[in-house]
Amino acid sequence: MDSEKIIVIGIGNEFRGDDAAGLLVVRRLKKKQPAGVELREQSGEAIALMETMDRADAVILVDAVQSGVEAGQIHRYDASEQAMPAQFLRCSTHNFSVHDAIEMARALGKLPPRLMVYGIEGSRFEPGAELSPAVQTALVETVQRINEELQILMGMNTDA
Amino acid sequence: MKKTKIIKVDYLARVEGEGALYLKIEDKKLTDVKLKIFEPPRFFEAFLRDRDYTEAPDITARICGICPVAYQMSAVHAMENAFGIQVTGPLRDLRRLIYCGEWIESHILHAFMLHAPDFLGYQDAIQIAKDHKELIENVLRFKKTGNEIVALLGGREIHPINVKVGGFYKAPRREDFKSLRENLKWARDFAVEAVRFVAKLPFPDFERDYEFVALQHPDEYPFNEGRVVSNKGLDIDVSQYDDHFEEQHVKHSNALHSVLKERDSYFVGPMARYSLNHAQLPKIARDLAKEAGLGKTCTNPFKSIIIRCIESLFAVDEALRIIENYEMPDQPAVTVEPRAATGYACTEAPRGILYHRYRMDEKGIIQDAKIVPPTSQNQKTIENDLWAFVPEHMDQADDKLQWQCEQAIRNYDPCISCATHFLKMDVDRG
Repeated sequence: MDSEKIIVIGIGNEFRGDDAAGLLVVRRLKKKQPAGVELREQSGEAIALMETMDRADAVILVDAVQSGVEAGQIHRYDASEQAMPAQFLRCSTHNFSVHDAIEMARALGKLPPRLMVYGIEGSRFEPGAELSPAVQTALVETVQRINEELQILMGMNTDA
Repeated sequence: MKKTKIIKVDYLARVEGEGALYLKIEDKKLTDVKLKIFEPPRFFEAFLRDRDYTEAPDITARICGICPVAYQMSAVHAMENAFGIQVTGPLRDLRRLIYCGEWIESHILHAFMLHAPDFLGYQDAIQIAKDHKELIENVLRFKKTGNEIVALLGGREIHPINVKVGGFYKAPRREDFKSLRENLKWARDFAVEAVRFVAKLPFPDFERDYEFVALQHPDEYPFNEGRVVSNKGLDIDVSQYDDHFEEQHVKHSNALHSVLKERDSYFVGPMARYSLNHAQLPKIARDLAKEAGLGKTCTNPFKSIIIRCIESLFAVDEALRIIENYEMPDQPAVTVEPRAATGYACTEAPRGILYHRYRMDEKGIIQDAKIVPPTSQNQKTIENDLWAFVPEHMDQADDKLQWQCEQAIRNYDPCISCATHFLKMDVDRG
């Protein structure tokens, strides 16, 4: 049996400060490429995102968030189980946001069986801004948590 | 006692970027309209200074996730204008083709995902998808055709990297278009269906006497070339843009308001293009426009949704025409020799004319850049629409009025992240 397709998608814009967080996480993961896992960087464009999710069995999505808590805080949602909170992942400059792409995929029955969303709370999103130190620190922890999550997912694969 | 009412939308949904609307109604009289846009606006112009001319297309493409092709096209044409280069033949066609891709993506996304919910009374397109699954699936498939064009010519779907001053890094072969051609044929049929669908939506009775500004070309519906014309007598070469247009700073917005010096606010985008270039549309689009109840011009901004679908049909049809006639060029780009000069370009972004001006030194290093996106040009017209619309609909409940005001703003598909960033509505009735 083919093993399941696992994709980690980092979303962001590297010209907008903390908005780059998702991309940076994926770039760090690439340094020690986990076997059998596809790593993708995307802008958050909804259709491309929906297509990538559609061909996966499990997706871990990483994006920056602005929900009002302290910068650097890491949110984790199991989006395969429940609808995403409306305000989550809306800080993208795309009007049809990452949140909308996930919920649209759900409405059309195209959500991958497993979808984990990591949101890194950011504080600077203006064009040209530097990454904030709190987000810089959060990158390390997010990479570690995703690696652990991947281990579990791959373990599930082997069991199957 | 004076009765004041304020309608506030702190976060305008379904617009590109973020901004706010503030309306003040005193004793049933509209006394203030502010479309507020917040963002450090001129970052990119500063960022371009001291960069090499070759970097401008890719840097400016980052301004907008929805219309990177428009930024690249305005940038490359401005550079070529400065260096005295004319790109012709298949390379010119490929540039039209990549623009078709962007119009297809951008127009269908706005028409169905962002604007249609206003007319159909849904909160968003996800709710539409729950009731009209097949329609939304087709919309997404249609948009994908646009993505496919941009990915094929641009190297990837978002922030294409294959476009350069002088042409492309790599030109496609004829056979690369094989599957795209089949998808476009399907898309042409769906575009017809899309026009028929939106033509049946309920449209508020609202018309204004706009000054429409768009490119005009003797032989084609405009993308990259043409004179800048209006229905009120403007007819200039792009290099005269700064003589006729000026940007004014208004306190409530970080995006500059662009006006015509001789007159005042003006209107750019699909409705302006259509009204000034109707005769250049292919017959299939003209016939369908007629069937949808449109004349040769349109002055009801709510009907811009129909025109976006007509232009989508045009873009698919034009893409097919280009692909059918395409012969791979010998070289993917013409040679560029930089020189000290200033270059100007306007191209037709999905939302309207996008002006770029660059001054380079003899090595081609950018000394000065100016970018005027379509949304900042429409900003004052959007406010003026609300000044006209709200008094006629004053007696409605706040939530209905607010809904219609947001709809009126979305008529323009405002790209606030281009014009700048952040929209939040206030109706102030006290």
